[in-house]
Amino acid sequence: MAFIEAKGLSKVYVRYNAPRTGGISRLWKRERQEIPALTDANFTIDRGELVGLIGPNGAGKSTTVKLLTGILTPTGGTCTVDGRTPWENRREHVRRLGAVFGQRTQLWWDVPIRDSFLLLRDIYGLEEKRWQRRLDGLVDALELEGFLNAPLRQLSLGQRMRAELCGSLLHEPQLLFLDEPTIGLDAVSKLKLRAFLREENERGGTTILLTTHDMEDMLALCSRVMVLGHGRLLYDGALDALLQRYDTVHTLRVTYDGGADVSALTAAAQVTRDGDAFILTYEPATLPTSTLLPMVLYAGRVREMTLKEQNVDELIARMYREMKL
Amino acid sequence: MRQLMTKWRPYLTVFRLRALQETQYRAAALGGLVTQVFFGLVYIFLYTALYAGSDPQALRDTITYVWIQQMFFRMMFSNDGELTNLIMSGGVAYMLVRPIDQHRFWVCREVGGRLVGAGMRMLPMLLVQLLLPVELRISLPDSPVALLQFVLSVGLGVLCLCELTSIIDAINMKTLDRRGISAILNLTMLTFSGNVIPLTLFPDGLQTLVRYQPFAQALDASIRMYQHAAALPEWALNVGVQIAWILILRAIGRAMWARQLNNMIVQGG
Amino acid sequence: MRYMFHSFRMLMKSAMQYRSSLLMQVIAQVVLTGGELLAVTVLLSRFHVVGHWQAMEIMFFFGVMQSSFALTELFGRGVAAFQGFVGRGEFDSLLLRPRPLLLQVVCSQLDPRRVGSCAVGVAAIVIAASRLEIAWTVGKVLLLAEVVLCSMLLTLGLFMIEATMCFFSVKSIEMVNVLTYGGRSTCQYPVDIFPKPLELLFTYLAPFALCMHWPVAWVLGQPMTALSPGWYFVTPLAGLVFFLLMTRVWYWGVRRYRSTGT
Repeated sequence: MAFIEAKGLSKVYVRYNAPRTGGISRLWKRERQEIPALTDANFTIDRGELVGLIGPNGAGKSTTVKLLTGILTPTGGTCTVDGRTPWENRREHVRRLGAVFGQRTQLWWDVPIRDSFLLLRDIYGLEEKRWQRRLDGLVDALELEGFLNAPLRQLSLGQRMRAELCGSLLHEPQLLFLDEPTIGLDAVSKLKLRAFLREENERGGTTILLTTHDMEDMLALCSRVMVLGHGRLLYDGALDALLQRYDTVHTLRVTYDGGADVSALTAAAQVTRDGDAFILTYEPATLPTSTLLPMVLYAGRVREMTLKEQNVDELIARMYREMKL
Repeated sequence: MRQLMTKWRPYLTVFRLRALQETQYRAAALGGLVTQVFFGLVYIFLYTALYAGSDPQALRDTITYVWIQQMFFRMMFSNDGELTNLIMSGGVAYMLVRPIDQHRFWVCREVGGRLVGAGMRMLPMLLVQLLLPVELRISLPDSPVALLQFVLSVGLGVLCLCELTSIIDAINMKTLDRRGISAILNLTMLTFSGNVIPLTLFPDGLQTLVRYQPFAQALDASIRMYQHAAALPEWALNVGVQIAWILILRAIGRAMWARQLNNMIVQGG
Repeated sequence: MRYMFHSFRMLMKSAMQYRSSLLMQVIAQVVLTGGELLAVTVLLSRFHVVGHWQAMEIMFFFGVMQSSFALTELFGRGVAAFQGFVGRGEFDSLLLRPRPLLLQVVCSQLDPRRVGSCAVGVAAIVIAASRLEIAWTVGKVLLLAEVVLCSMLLTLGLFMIEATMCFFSVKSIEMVNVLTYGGRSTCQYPVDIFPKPLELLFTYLAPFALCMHWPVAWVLGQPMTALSPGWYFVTPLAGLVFFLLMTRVWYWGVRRYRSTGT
């Protein structure tokens, strides 16, 4: 049986808004509004997988995460995590999972982070020795040695996120939820964080579910992605396949020594000039790179040539457009 | 026994950590000390003028009452920003992924902060008494027994206040707009706990009502014991009222927290 | 002046965007100040007199203090909440604009909730005045207006002490509350009921007595001093002097802030 299994999972929020018109009665009158946040989601996730959850804002990512953590109850469908229904026995369920909600903090602002970790030890009822060993390991891997006695408010954003991760992994959860863990971090911090997460996933065997807007995160971490839009699961599968499906246009930049006869190229692909260089835009689906290359070489003496796939962010933007998100 | 220890460990730890944290806020304690001494003196001068020599014993009692109220002022309010931060930033989600009783957790946290915070202001204020002319000083307790009854009762008072605060917190979770309602609740608490005017000076016809309402259990009940050592049946009645209110407030607070957290579970906060 | 008028109109408009929330907060203020009024009433119902002052006279003092203090908080929030202003770095942006700094600070915020407290204060004055037999003259009405205005300046000056301390990373800034909020609680009673040191403090250092108690006592027909009546139009100016003095101190703080950049 799969580790996580969701069947027909749905969630509709009900909001009561103050009416915009109606004088003094606005103070107590409320209008009921139903907002479908997740509709009929079906998926399974196996133990040890690292899955990325992507989609534009308001697509239903956090709703999905909240349902799986047991924070929310669904309005329809079923879901089990390790054989248990998250929202039915929430306390037992959350004992085995960790969560980092980006831009929010679980550690205390004014006390040394070591004290927050101490408190987490007692919240999860961890054994002193096991906790100490785990803490040492995490402090080492996340490079937190110097900061254990500093209060959270004195840490930089990167250090803070690493401390949050440490806090959410102390009790060795089977399942870890990460909500935009790299948001606002600098390049070096991002790289370190990703390396750590891969390690934790591969060696520790922790199942990780990650929501992000950062495609670099996706490329570096997830082999599998789920794309959500308007509360529906639009794609669930390998990241590569997704990229291939939408990665339809390549550009080839060529500079020639001396003159070049590009007439044949102009017929096959779209050609523009950029100073000395020619820029060929083509679709590998209709014109394979292996067919184009000989033509490029034949046209003159190639000094320099670079092949560029589409930028991932552009690609995702296009995907959202085509899926009409 | 062992199981009980494990069960209570997170709550004891949060109590201890919050108490330790409070000792770091020395500047705030100093500021509080100066403010409380000033207000204490102003009130005492006011009552001296009001009594105008008519009833020296009542004036002595009122002065003692005012000083004790000022010494334990820190007990009245939470100065804990963490829960507000958590509510405002939406970090309440973290509460829901913890395998512990959230209401108990925050109440223990409050008790820790207030006991230590009040202690840090009370001790220097006792020293300040020595600098004052005798007629402005706090009187000694009625008897050693009275002191003992007082100390025990203050402990219950803190519990009572923290349960009250948990109710206010639940309201804040719901409205997210702390200023209006909190300000009113805080003033209600100050007024009916006897900080603004000693409850003993409320109209005589209302004394029974004033004395047994919940806010009086915070400190007023304790001060009455300090000034008048109660015989066993009377003492049992007073402590019983304190405990009864703690249990009632606790039941209300727990129900409201459960409802609030449950709403978040259904509605996503 | 036009700048001030426009700023306040803008701030008022933005506050009106949240009408129901504002209404609740105004009501909250009415309850809060009403509670203090109730407390004074409870005391007076037990003791009837304070020194040589009758209950209604005390009520009159209470009303003048509360309404002038509430008006200060209403218009002077920029100064009263200056600490947060500096903390959030918003003060720096004011330094970039070509207008008098203090004026900008005052115009940056408004606290419309205080209308509630002010209303209770005015109600207390009206009730007290209707029970007391005061021989009203145009002069007395004008004097009362002057008293309120000067008390506002004095209170604003007291808030500016705190605002100045923000420039020096002083801890326990709330100690200054002793003068502002403590001043309000103390001086809602006429100072002559207090022992000499306290009376002197609030007569000459934070001159609430000069600004408020002396002239109001004369209006009530119970003069606290033997000055000739004309002087009661002069003593409130102590509030103006105090305010100007604190303005100098505050600007000195600003200069220091700009040279050290705390």
